[in-house]
Amino acid sequence: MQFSRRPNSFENVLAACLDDLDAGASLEEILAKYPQHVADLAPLLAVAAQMRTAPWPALSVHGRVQGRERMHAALAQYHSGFSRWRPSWVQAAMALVLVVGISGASVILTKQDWPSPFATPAPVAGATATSQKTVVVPTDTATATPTVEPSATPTLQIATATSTLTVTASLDSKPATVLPSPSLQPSATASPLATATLRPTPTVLPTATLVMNASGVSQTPRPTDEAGKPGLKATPGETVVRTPPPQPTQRFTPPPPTAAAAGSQPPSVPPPRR
Amino acid sequence: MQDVCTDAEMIALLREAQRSDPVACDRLYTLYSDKIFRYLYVRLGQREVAEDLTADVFVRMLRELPRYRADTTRPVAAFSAWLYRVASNLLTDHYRRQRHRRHLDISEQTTLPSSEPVPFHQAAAAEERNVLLDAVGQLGDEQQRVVLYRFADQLSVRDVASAMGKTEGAIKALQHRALDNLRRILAATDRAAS
Repeated sequence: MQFSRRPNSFENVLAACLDDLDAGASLEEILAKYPQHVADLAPLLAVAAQMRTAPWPALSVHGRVQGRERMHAALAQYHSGFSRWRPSWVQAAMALVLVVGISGASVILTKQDWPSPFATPAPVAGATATSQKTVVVPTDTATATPTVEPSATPTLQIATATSTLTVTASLDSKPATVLPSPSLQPSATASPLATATLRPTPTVLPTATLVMNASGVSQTPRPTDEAGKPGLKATPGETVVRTPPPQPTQRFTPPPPTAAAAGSQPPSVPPPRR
Repeated sequence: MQDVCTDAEMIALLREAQRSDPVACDRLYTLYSDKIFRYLYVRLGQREVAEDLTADVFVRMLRELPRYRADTTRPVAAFSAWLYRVASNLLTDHYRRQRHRRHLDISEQTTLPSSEPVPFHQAAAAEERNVLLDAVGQLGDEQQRVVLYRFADQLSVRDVASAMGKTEGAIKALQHRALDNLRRILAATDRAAS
């Protein structure tokens, strides 16, 4: 048998005949349509008809059930493998992130001596909402419990999370005299210019201003002066710039207000007489 | 017997099966288990071994499926071809293990290799089994698949082309060569029997 390589040749004729066979046509009817190919088509269509009616094997019921069970058993095995592996991996990753996060936060807070961010003071009546949170804490709540570090650094303690500010050291303009803690070094100063005295006295300032930044974790006490401006800038570090609060014992007398200070024109100087 | 899975359904089915969804895997088993079994059976001639290897094919399918990349242009054909390759690889492993190969490969070349009759011992072995299955088992891989798709599964030329990822013209040529080879094999079997 010679195969033609032309398009629409014998392969297409055979395909058309097989379609007719699938449609239920008999071999005689099909061969009658292609008399010029009868010699080539007849043996091939006979084989095709034999194949179509052959008892093609299929999986037995036992083989089908067994194969399906094996597949699902393998599937369950994969599932159990994933379930054992995945949570442990996720949990380990989460634990690592948690430990690193907590460690980092602890280091930062320890270095900067910040209060815990979880002890966010609750808003107090009178607080002003500006770019910085300013909470005016009544000094009635100040206690006289001194805790003076040997370095004579003023220490701020947040007693509770309800904005109760405890000022444990106050500044005085007198020479350093630390009482009553005997462990405090005499050389401790709070300012390079003015010797500060950390006196754990129950001195109560008129007001204490707690200034927090937007994140609410940095607090700076600012006792206000008469003009209501911040007079003390005490960062949590060591540097304390002090503006003496008004006290009756203060010897400094401010100069009398001049006319310039009063906002008037300076006095005119009379021209020299000739 | 029709392969009722469309391309869109196959994409969704494969996506679910790759997530080890048991329903999707079961659906793949229903769609392809008989086809794979016939493919193996006509080559092995032993039902028990063919059934066992069929189960192995689907277990390996589960193992390899997460790495399988679905062809979105012709997902049914690509997956069918991939699954037949899995079966073919397992069959090769089986032959290697058994050190026995009864498969007579007839090449896919257009001109037949020889007009010599099939050796007598093969025809005698074919008498012990189903003659037709043995004849199909002697075809080459692609011709076998075309015969199985076309006559056992009764798919159209177009569906076979889709399943095998070939053109309809290629399928027509394959079925022509397969039928002609079967005719020769059966004729040789008849002569040997007589």
